[in-house]
Amino acid sequence: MSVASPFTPEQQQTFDADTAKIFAKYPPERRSAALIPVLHAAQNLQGWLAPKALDYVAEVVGVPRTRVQEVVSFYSMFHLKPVGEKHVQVCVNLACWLRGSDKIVDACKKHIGEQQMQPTADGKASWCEVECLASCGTAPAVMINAKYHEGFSVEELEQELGKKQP
Amino acid sequence: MDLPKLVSKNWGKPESWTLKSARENGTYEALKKALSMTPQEIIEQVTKSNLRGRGGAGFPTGMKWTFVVKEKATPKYLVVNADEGEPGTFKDRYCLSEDPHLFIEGCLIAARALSAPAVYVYCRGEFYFQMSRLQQAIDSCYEAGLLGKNILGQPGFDVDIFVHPGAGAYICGEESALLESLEGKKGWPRLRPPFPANAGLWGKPTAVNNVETIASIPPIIERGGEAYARLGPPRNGGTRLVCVSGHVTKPGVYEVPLSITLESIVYDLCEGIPNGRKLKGLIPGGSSAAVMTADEIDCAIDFDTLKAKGTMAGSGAIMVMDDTVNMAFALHNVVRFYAHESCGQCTPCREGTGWMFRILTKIVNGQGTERDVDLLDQIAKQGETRTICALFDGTAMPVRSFVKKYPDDFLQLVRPAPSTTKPLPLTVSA
Repeated sequence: MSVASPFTPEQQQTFDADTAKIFAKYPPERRSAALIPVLHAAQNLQGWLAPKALDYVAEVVGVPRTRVQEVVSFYSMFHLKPVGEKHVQVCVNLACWLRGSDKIVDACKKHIGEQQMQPTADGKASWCEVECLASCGTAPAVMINAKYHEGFSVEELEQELGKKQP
Repeated sequence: MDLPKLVSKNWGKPESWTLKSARENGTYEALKKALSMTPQEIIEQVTKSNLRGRGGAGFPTGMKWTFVVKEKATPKYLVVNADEGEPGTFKDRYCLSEDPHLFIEGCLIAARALSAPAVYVYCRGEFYFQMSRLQQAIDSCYEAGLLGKNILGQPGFDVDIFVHPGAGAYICGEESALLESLEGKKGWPRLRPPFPANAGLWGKPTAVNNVETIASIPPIIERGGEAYARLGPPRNGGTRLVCVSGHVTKPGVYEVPLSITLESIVYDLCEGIPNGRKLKGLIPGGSSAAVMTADEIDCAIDFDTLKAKGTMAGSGAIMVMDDTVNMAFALHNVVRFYAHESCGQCTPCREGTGWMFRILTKIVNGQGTERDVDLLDQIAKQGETRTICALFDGTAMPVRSFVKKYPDDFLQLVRPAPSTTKPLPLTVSA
């Protein structure tokens, strides 16, 4: 392979196992369908998608690098810059807004920082607004890394961020 | 209230997601029945059931399947839309996490009806938990001979189900954008025709159905299409899941016949508006639907009735707002979503959603004028039906209805137009 892997040997093992499972889902002549799942697999390992990782994914999936760029810049789940160890995504759509998502946004600004997608200096946390998480019945909802937190409150946010003892 | 439960009947039962529990609950019995029927007979039952797509458009499922099987090209595909993202909608996630086997059974019956060897479930990327539940259920089905080759010993009945994650784009819930995304591209809706039923995934005939639609198939086969149809009003068969959110005492997912009224849902099932407040209005079918005032909600939730009322049944997402809400702020929130999620392909939508959002931002910050309120309606009206997909229409509907039904909420925030300005020439009669 002409493009160097961005992964450590350990990560590489996981990545290879994951991608083997992913490619098995699609007809061999439709390999490019695996692009989005493979990008997820790469991002899961490193927390974000560095340019080197994108080069590598293009090579593995067998699609042009421009196509990879087009895809990662279109979908909001792909991070082209590092995010915090705890990445807090706050749903701000109508149902969550009616149930007080504003307060959670304010608390994120206070405890993490004014800027969305900007990790704290120690890299421990970052936050952003997110579009409807399909948790409207248990609003307000946030997603921290891969986990949903429903019926969320400012107190819980403070606990999650270690600002307050439970 | 005693309501028939078909899709949600196993929710909340202990370990309802395991194959063992599913078998105890009678799941996969309808599949056995379907195996004794020809694909044509299955489609006939689904047609008779008057099942209409639960994702939002309400297209008759039987008719969609008929289009697919008429095509000569093979293989045919079943693609399930689990990209639940319409604001207010949160039902498919429970179908996947609480009763994945009913869903898999529906996939298998549909795959048989369509002669589709592969089913792709396009699941929104954030649903890590639901995807892992579904994958576990799929794995246990392979072990039990319910997926793979010669299912239940039926020679030649081969079906595989694959879970495919999305990556956070509302537009990928639009069926042709979903197919693009599934093919590994950015989610830009396709120009139609050809429709997915004729040329869908990789150009092959494809049925794209919502999760709840598929989960409704086993109950239809079990009790027969006509019996299912009788649960709802004419042309709107069966039950559906409604998702109630916002200012109600008991928000949540309720399975109801399509003949139930919005009023009954809000006041009987959800026990009304909390804190002694009054209902100001509600959105009956996801945030793309036109808003309804408190006086309008004494009507059934079926597709035809709500369409006649100038709104839509959509995805069954009912968002309730009490009298503390200023509707200009609510609309500002709704339009922000569409401006963010417009895919950028068509100019009226790419520019129009952002323009309306900027105007609304001005209005809620007290910097708007009366003319801005008129302008909102004009932008919405001029973009309607002029785009490839329905995202812009789904923005125009709330914009036009909020402005029309709650003008005072907007006017109290804006300055009157300066008397020297002429009225905009754009105003055309409705």
